[in-house]
Amino acid sequence: MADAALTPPGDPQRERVEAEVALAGPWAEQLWLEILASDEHLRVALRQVRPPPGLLERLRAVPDSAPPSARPPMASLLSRPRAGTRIVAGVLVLVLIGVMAWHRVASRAEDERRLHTVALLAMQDHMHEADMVVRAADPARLSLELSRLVEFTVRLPEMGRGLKLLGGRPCHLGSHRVALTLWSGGDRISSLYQFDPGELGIERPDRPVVVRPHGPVAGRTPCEVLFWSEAGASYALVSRPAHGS
Amino acid sequence: MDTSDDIAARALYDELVGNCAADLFAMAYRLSGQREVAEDLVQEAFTEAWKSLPALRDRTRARAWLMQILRFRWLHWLRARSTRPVEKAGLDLVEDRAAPRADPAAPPMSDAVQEALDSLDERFRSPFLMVFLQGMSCQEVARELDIPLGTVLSRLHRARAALRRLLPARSAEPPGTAPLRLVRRDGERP
Repeated sequence: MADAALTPPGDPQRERVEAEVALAGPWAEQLWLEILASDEHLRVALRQVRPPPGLLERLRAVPDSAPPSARPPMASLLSRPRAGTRIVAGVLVLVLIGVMAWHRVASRAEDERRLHTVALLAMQDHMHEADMVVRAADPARLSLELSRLVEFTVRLPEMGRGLKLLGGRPCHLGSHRVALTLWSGGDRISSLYQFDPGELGIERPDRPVVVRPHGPVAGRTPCEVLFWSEAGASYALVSRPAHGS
Repeated sequence: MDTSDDIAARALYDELVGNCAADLFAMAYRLSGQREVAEDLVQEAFTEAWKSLPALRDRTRARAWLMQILRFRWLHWLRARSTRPVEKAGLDLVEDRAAPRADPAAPPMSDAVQEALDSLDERFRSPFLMVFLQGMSCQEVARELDIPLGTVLSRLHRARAALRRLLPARSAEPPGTAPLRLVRRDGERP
């Protein structure tokens, strides 16, 4: 299990383990989630390193002190030959786009794995925890009380008509504190988690992202988890029918 | 006057700094346990990167390339300062490392992680950081370190076990968050 937890969603080894976990039942699912949560705990703690002030400025000054003979020729990096000053701007744009592209590719797989894990943890919490510490239907009052409890500013998004706020509580996804609010609408109960994506080590989900975690949780059909950001806060929303699965 | 080559090189280098410096510093700190050493390592890595920019043929691998340079600088630093062979026998030996200078602004868990990492032999620490901090796959680590995949998995297993044993248990609800009222979902009090 521990080895499979290191592989990304969709990896054949991981899918084999998840299938076996699903067959084994809730005790195995709990163990699987504990391994994932523990690994996330380690990953996020490892990233909690603050660079010294001014580091970037000192690094950007490195080329200024490099002797002329050390400056690298860029011909091997450019896809088109030098053709005069009129294309310099175009070349720069290509370089910048290329650099931005590699950054996205390099980080996307890791972010996908991390979002998947956070989604699994959110689903587990949604399935098993039903208590509220603060029962309030007024978003402003609930935000205020939860902010005091979780020690970061809780902002409730506009959830649309038909969804009624029930209350909330501080919560942990893995070992990280998030603010949970519960909403009811029709025959569904929804759990809304507000978290700090920087703390959880994932890119801020500026565009809504739906994650469908692989493998059932606690024997039930997995839910979808919607991630998005607005007004400086980031959220994950899980919902299921109010009565049974 | 700067040529277009110079401008393009500088632009690429600046992007590398902006996108990778923080990650490299985190890796350097986790490897060395010392902020001053970590900054030196990162400075050396970026200096070498600036000089070797033409060697970066695949921009999608820029971060991995920088991390590789950093790791080589780290091993060089280890060899230069140590009077003993780099390879040590056994997970339980504590390396001869100066006391890490903790960042007073760092979360407590970060310090606990560093103390736990400092207790690991280098053979276990590097693969662990390559997977858990750098995000490499186990197969990539095996290729990079030129060791069998089974060896990587074994070292990861032992490093994870050691870290989990040494890290404090994840906290329960901290003081001050005792429920004001405990209400069941159906609205009735227990």
